[in-house]
Amino acid sequence: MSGKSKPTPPNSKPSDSTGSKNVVQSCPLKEKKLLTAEWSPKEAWCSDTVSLNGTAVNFDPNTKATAQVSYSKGALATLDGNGQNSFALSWQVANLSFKGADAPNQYEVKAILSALGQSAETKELLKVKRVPDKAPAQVSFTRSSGIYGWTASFKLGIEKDTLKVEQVLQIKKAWLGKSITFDPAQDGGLTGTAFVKKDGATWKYWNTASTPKQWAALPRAVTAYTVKNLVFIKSGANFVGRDDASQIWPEAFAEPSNYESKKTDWLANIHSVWENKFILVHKGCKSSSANQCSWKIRVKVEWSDDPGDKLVYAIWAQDWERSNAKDWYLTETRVGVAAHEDGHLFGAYDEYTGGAVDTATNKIEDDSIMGQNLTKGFPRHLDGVRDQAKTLINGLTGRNWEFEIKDA
Amino acid sequence: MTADIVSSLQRIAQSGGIVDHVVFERITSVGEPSYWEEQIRIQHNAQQQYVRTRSVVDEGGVPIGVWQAPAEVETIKSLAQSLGQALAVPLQGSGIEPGEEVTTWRCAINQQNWQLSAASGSALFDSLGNVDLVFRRIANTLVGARAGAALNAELLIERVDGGNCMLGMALVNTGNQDFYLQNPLLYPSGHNYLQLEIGAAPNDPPGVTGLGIQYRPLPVRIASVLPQPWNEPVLLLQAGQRLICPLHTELQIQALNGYFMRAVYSHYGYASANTDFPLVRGRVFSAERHIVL
Repeated sequence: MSGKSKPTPPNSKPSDSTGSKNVVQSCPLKEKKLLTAEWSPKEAWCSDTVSLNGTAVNFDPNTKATAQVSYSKGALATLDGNGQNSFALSWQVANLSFKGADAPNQYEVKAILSALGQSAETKELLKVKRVPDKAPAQVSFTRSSGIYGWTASFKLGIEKDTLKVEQVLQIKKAWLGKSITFDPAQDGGLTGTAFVKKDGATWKYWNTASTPKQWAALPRAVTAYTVKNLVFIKSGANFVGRDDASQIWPEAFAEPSNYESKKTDWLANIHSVWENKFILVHKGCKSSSANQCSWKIRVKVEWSDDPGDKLVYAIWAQDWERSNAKDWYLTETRVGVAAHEDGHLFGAYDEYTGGAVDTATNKIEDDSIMGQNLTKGFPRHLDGVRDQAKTLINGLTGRNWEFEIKDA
Repeated sequence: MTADIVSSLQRIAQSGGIVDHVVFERITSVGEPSYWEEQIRIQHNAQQQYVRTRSVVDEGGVPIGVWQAPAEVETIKSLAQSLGQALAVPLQGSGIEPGEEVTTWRCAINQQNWQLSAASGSALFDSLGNVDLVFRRIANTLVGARAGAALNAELLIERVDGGNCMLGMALVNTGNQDFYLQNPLLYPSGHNYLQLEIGAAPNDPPGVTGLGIQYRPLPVRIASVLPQPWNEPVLLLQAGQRLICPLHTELQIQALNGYFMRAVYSHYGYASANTDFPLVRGRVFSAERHIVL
């Protein structure tokens, strides 16, 4: 509009420049005001800042304009701003709920811009999109802490308002054997290493020098030796070393009677700690209700005989043994160990002294599934999941959003 | 760096006397959380020390505690020689999962520091086998000499009238040094306890490595009013002292026939205050008793 002359009113007469008293007084100036409104851009994600642009004709300088923003479910926002020939009212998209299984792929948002008694509605609606569904796909990342290092691995996907964390754990049955190394100076000249096992209350070693080979009493108490744990897997009729196939246990191991029941218990424990306990929240969302831009975190872990996201061993042992992220002992009586170890496989650090702690925080927490007492999960334990979800969602939206995990 | 430490190790191994500051250390831990830890340390012109929180195989009758004695020069030279030989060839490390049994060897010679960690059962661990033997001798010598604070548990069985027996337990300091230990009766939780356990004798067919004795705790009666010193959070156990625990259970003797029994002390907590004596922590099992009538 600027630069153009004011239009001449159609019913006006030329003014009398002679000063005659018969001059007819002209009507007060009546200018027709025109107003239009449109969104820019036309598509957005929740939390994007969009502009409601208006064009105006015959508006006074610094005219105040307001806009009512709404969608099919009701009002969303009231905007205001000043302008004359144009208005630009910004809105950070918010308060659109994509919750529930019937959440649409997008909402259409209209605005009515009003100023000086004029109003204009956006002819083209703003399309606010839901983060699209994405089938779970493999993600993995490494963790390290001092001498420890491991890889977290699972599948991550999005379906409506749910972040799907799925993990297939290949599980293999294994058996624990032990060995010691003789000290020739202390063991009457015996040298090398020998398998050992407990027979009743007596420790024996596999005497390969005798004919036939047989179990024999150890020359010294078993605690006088460094006792090594060796994991065996079944190969045909033999039990061979998992990490050194040249090791063959000299006899059969008993078949674990609690293999299936332990698997069931472990899965139940894992889900009781991790499943449906947390939500992923978009930190930049300005919606008035809390956690509007959030996703339920559904964790589903399954066993498989075939290769999966991670491989763990369910290990039979003669006695109570100490589990770790890879080796889960069937004699382990603390069921919380399963959720703890799987916590590592989701990227969680230890929270007990001496463990694989987060060196950035050195967090120690006894009352925690990753701590001394193997109790409950905390949002921080899924920081690795959060980071992977950030990559996933930002890849889908082209944005650079930040996220946090909260209790559900 | 490794070449420097090897050179120093060789020099110490071959020298008549040692004028250097020398420390060797071996620490093993396993489990999540690491309920089992073992530390063997020797420092020239200072102490050699062994700390055990739990027998690696939960062996009965094996004390836990802190043992120490003056360091022996020959042991240091022996460690220098075996470690120097082990490091003469490049050692390949391996990944260690959280909770995996891991041993860390450390060596400090004057300003030089060296450290290596290996998973138990790994080839790297085996390559330090001779070093391990020397460390193990240190531990065995110290424990054998009862040189320190050593906690053991003792199962008490006493016949009473009516074909019954009374079972109880005691804690014994089998070392030559006084020590403190936490009183589990004032810290009831999953890891802190005094227990009497019973387990059936295994019945494995020949030629099969079967389950060991599967112990389970017996219900016990704890004194309603705890006597001294059991009403204190920390117990002082003097060298040679035997402290009867204020708990018992009574069973028919026949019910024990063929079973194994043991007593267990467990407390992994650290002392909340500084003490004049060492604090012994961990889990200790009494010698296993096979009841055969």
